[in-house]
Amino acid sequence: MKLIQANDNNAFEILYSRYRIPVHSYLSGLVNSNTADTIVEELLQETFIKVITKNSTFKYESKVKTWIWTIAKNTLHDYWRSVDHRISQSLDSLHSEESGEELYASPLDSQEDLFLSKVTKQQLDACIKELPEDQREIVFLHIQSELSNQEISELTGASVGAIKSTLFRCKEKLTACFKRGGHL
Amino acid sequence: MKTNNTFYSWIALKTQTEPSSTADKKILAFSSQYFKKEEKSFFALWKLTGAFALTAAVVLVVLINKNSSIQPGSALMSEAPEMILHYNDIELMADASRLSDADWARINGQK
Repeated sequence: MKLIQANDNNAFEILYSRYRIPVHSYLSGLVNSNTADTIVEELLQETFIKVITKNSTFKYESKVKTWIWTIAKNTLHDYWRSVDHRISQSLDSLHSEESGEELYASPLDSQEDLFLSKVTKQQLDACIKELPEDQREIVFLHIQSELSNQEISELTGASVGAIKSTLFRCKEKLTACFKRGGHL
Repeated sequence: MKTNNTFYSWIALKTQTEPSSTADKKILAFSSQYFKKEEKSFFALWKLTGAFALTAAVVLVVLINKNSSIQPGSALMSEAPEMILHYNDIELMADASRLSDADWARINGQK
């Protein structure tokens, strides 16, 4: 980070290569729109442009990854505020860009794995979209950011206990949804 | 049932998406341009500061040299000659210049 603050572009490229996929996956999991791909790419660009231009505001009071995820989260929330995404969410819940029934390859080391291996992308997307937005955000922060529950708690304002119980409840909801075949 | 971590690792793997090469290029092009510009402005500021410091140093050296070449008395003589007229010695000399030969003879002890 010190190198980035000293205008070292190579240092930024290393940072970008480290976070490009997790941040894109996080945004992608939380943006529901007919033009989700375009919007996610725009939000990704906005996030990293803020990382570049606001690098001097990083004061080493937190970890770099916490700072980056804070920027990504705020960028997403700004987008949510800028559009009436709740309307589009309800419309898009009926829409799936993936029409294929491609099966995910999963390690078949148990009956549970066998069950999950039969979950299609369409079912997975539909089940994830079924989760309430605040819970979905916690799930995607948990799975993509590599932040601890304590760090997610600081980022979202929810208690560590609430985060743990949210993750547990979401797992139950998703599993139940998979068993229903992804039907809403 | 899988543990939370294994379950969510599976979800993470399945929901992982990658930015397009266009997005990558745009972001990296922006960073390259931004940091180059910042570097330039940093050096420009550094050069400006350096030039200012150099000018200040030259002016200071010139002033010091100028002051050291001025004699303390010369400033007094050139700037306040009228004050000197009030010095007792000068007054005495001025008076002495008006003494007659007889006065001088008396001063020199000639009777």
